[in-house]
Amino acid sequence: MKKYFEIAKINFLNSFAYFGEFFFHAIFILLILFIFTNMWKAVYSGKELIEGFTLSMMIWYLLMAESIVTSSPGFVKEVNTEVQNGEIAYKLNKPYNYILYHFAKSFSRRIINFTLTFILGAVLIYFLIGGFDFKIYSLFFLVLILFLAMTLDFFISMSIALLSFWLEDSNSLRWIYDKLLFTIGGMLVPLEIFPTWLAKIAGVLPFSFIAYSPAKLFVRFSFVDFFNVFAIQISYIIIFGCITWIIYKRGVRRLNVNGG
Amino acid sequence: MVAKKNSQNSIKKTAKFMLEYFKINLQSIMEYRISFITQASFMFVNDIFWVIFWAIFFNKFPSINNWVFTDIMAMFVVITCAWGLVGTVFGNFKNIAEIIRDGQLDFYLALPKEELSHILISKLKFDAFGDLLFGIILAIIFVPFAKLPLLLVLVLVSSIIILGFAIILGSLSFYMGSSVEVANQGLMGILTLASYPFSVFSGFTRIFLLTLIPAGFITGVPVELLKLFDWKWFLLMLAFAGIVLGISLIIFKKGVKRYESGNLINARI
Repeated sequence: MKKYFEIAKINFLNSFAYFGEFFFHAIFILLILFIFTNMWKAVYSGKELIEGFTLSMMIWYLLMAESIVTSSPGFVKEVNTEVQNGEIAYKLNKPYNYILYHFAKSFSRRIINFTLTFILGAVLIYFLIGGFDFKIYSLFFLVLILFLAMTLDFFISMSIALLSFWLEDSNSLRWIYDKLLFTIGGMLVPLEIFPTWLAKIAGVLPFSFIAYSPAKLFVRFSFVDFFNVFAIQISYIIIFGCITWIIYKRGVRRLNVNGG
Repeated sequence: MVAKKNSQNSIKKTAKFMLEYFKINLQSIMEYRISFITQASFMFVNDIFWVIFWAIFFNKFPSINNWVFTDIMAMFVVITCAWGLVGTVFGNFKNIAEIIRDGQLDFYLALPKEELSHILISKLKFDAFGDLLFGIILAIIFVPFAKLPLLLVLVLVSSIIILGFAIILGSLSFYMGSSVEVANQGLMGILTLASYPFSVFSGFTRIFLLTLIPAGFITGVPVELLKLFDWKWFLLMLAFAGIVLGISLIIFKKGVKRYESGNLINARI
């Protein structure tokens, strides 16, 4: 376990060399927040509450959901390249597990991405809309839910990335997955805005436990919701962890590397 | 008189060269057909997701500052067709900054053809075909038949603005050393801003979107013109497109004069 912590630490420190990249990423999210703030202001004109959300709750929800989803580093492309050019064979010989190596590496980058985006976004929203009634005691539980949301996202992304053993370009599938997070995952709008039938379906799919549930707990915390989300996130992590492992094992078995 | 004729000949030659190059690019699709089909279809699916999102949104809120669902669809027609058209014909429009920064401009300067047009057309952007096809299908569904000629003109003018903006951002590499990140974020920014209803912006933001980051002229004004035609705004849009393209050409040409070769040796296969 210690070696993965060291991998995460090294990548965390390395990431500061690319601070400009993180900064530009955060600026882009600010632009999205600015657009949505204008849009929701137009929608809310004359209304105090929409589906239990005030205007400021809606914008803070969006910040949390955007920060989680867009903080994911593009490791799918990296794995895709490693499988395509055979570099994976070199990494399989190393004294670490390939999946856990990527988990440690991507998580360290993700923490920086998330923190920077969230802080800059929070400053912008506070300036545009103001604060909201955040329950400070929920902080510890939220950090746990965020960790699980990012872990679940990692395993789904990794299982897509490892399909590179069979597909020419698994990155395109990641693209579709991103759009699922944006829409039925509730990144752009909470599921309460959806028609009831669609909200019910989206509410049980894993995508909403990455964006919607953590963001909703952030703006409207309750222990009942927390335990529900926690239990379902753990279940999905086990399911997708197993799927990732099976794909990985089968993929490695069919790996053919030309010498050179 | 002679100068004018020479200039006309030069434009004709460049247009002919571009057309031939485009034909060769199209033929190259057959060589990379799996990649082409994958990228184009994924972009098509990507666009469908946005339509689903807006359908959900407008199902709940039928109007945002007088923009209804069909206006958003008209907006998508304009942006996907214009962005798709630029990507289809001028596939390198997003890579100008990188080409300048990496010294790849040497290759184009060494050839007798006009360098900017040569750079722009020397790559085919497969996903742009997905955008273009999606836009055309959406236009058939959501834009009344009588308005299709106007739509065509508006898409062409929007394309010119996108192209001009991309050339300006890319050419900044001549002056800044590298404008790759600025160009990437600038183009993503304008695409994003042009993909949301213009009606939600007001005051200073509106002025900003009609000048420095002209997303308003790319989709906002065209949608308003499709709703209710206004000669004043139409002419303003035409003039703006001309100005942006003119400025972009000046910045690029002046930049080429400042350009110093990186003596990069590479092989183009």
